[in-house]
Order: sequence, then C-alpha cells, then structure tokens
Amino acid sequence: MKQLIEYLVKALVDAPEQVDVVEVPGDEATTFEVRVAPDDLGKVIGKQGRIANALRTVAKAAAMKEKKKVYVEIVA
Amino acid sequence: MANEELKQRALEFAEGLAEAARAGGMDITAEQTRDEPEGVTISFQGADSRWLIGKAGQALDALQTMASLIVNRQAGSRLYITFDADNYRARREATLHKMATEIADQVVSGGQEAVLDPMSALERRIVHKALQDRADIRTYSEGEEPERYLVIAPAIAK
Repeated sequence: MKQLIEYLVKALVDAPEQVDVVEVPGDEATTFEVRVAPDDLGKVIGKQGRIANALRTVAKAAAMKEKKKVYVEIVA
Repeated sequence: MANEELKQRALEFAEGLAEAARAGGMDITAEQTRDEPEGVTISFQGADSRWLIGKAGQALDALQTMASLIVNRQAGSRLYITFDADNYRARREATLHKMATEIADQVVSGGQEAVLDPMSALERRIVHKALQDRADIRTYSEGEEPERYLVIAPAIAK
C-alpha cells in the first residue's frame, strides 16, 4: 500500500526525490502521511482537493483487500 | 508531443503502478488492450486487480484522472486514457444497459419520469446510448459535475 501511494505521489510532483510517505499504524486505521516539496503541494492536493481525494479513493479501495481502513494525509 | 509518445508514457505509468502494487504484495499486471488514434485502454489484470476498481468504479476513475494529468502534462495534444481492471468496464456497461431498460419500462408504464443517481459522463453516455432508439422515452442530463445526473422521461406526447 505504501509503495502504491508513494508511486502515485512521485508521479504527480516535480521533485520526486523530496517525496516521503510514512505509515502510521493505528488501532482502527492506518494513516499514510505524505510529505512533498512546498512547491509541489498544489500538485498533490489539486483544485478543490481533487487529486488528494483521488489518492484517498485509490488507497481506500486497495486497502479493502486487507479489510483495513486507511487515511491519506497531505502534511504541509 | 506525438500521441505515440503519450501512449508510451501512459503504458509506462500503468506498468509502474502495477509494479508498485506488486511490491506491496498485490498480484497485478498492466497491459494495453486497445489502441485508437486519440486514446488507449490499459487493463489491469491478475488476482488482485479487482482491488483497483473501488465502489462503482471510483478508484479506477481516480487512477484514470491522475494518469491523464501526469501523461498529458506539458503535452500539446491530449491523449484519452481509459483504465480497466478485471473486465469491470464491460461488466458495468452490461449492468447499466439492463438498468436503463428496466427503468425505461417503468417510466413508460407509470408515466412518471425517473431521476438516476449521479454518474460520470462516460456512464451517462452509456445509458443515453442504450435508450436512444426508443421512441417511447427521452433522456436528458441535469445538475452540475460531479453531481450531474440523467433523467429518463416519457416521450413528449404528440
């Protein structure tokens, strides 16, 4: 899952080497904290959060395989 | 940029995605299944490809949106990218056809128009095309994206 999110985020940004995805396990859900270069924030969030929501939709669907709940947070 | 180059980019993006999924323990491969002048269809296959579909195909659409953005970035032309997984698009089309016919029959027998749930432009087109040859009903879209929806109404009385 982490690899999948990392791949998508790296493909979206201009500075893939500055992408960092941290998996934070929780009792009920796993959170993926996504960090990118400041100039790339707009690219992973998108207009009205469209891209961030697309990332969440994909992560949620893929996590269904493990019957897990996931959150994707873009950390500024 | 020539479309051939964009198609190559689209396929590379999908293959990279499948590789990332495999690195995460999912059995997924990507393959180009359709090649048209203006677009490509890339299908994800393998036992876990169905986990890329999401509720009502939302994850597949989300991946398609991202792929389109990434592939067409800084490109003069635009390549239309369709993603499929586990034959979802064809199955969904058959479901929509069946649903459209059933609702149209109800509209005719009840005389009342039916308002459908919001659907993507692609799905609205499928329903519209499924019913376009019927003289007893008419279809039209209302509302704003992404909440735009289709209405199936009785044909206007002559």
